Amino acid sequence: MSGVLYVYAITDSLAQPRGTGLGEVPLQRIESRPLAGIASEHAVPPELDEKVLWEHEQVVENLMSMGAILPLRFGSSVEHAEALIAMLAERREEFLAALERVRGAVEISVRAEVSVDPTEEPPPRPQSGTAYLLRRAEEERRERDAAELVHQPLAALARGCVPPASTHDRRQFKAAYLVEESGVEAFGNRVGELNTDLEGVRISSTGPWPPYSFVAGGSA
Amino acid sequence: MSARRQTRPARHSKLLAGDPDFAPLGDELERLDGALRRRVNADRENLEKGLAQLVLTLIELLRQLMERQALRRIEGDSLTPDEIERLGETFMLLEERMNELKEAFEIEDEDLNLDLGPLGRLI
Amino acid sequence: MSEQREQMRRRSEEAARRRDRDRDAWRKRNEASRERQERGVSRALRDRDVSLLDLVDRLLDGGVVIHGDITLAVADVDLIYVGLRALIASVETIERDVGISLSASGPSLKASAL
Repeated sequence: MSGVLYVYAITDSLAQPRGTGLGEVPLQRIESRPLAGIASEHAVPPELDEKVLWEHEQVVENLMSMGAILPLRFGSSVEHAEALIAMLAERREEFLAALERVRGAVEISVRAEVSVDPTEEPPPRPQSGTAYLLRRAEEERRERDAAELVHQPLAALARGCVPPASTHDRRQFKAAYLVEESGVEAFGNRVGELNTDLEGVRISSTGPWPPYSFVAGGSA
Repeated sequence: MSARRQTRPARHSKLLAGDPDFAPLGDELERLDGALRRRVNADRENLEKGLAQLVLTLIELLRQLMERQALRRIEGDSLTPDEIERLGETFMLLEERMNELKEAFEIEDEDLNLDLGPLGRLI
Repeated sequence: MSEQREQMRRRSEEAARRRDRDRDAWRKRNEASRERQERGVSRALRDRDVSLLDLVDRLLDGGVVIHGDITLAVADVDLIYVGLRALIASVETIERDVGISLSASGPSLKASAL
């Protein structure tokens, strides 16, 4: 049984990919004009561990030098080039639009934490359902306000963003921003400023990353 | 615990700016650790506790999601005072039940740790 | 009459027990949080930690997803992991994109169902 074609990214660039794939296997372009998929052939699909994730990331980052690319989710593979070619043809408009959206830009991830203020006593137990919900509403409002103080100034410096959503850990803020390559330094400086200026808020950012979070839809 | 972290290769940092010294970060990372290293520990007790934790995490997630949506509806003025009271009581009860369950399974608030034994850790 | 008093006594005992439980849980939570903030893990380690978390968020939850003749190049065990992460991510997406999505007939949470 033949191996798999492991796919890293989709591009509309005509350039040759730089670097090699996982395990230093050569990269190949799989053409479906005007698009192409960048892939490498493997006998056995790679195992999931930290090392291979970083290796994969390096491959994709090398591809950024080709121009605009759409990174694929880790582990994406096809049995035959034909399957990939057909898919690229089928979703041509979608991919071309996405490439336009991310051209010349990179992704920056931002995390923030609002410090818990440790008081000595828990708040009094609410006396009714309505009181409970009112207190929850007040907590939500405070969290939202804190999140906005971080998000707004950064969104202003970005082409697009995936805004923070509240999940089970309420105190944690996580967002992604699509930033012009030329604007990355200024963005980083702003993060540093906010980290210093905002009381009780710790912020950090990582990047630049290939635009994983902006390959479909996304908001400004 | 910290010994494991030190085995990480030195070059993998993509920090751009700011201070990554967050408390919650530690937990997220511990939960991730297991998924990236195959855990051969086929301890049955571990597995059962892990499944309980998995279920509780999902319930907690849904509970907070529902609570937030209820709050939005209240803000939007589309509920009667009576409905608000009933909703509030339900959520209070839900929260209390969750705390009892966490206590019963000895799970800390921040450490909803999804250890599924041989399946590794999730989230 | 004394039955009523008995009931009231039981209720106030229950309330006191709940208050104690609340206070203990609150204290434990705050202590745990303070402990972690003081835990003095070096900054270099934190850098790598947050980098790894963000890497995994992108590689496993982000990027173009291709369908059809696809085999996910990970073992079965990890598929569950990947699947759950997708579930959590999609919940976040629902919150963000859809907003209020309770049914038109209103929420129907039954306290007795718990």
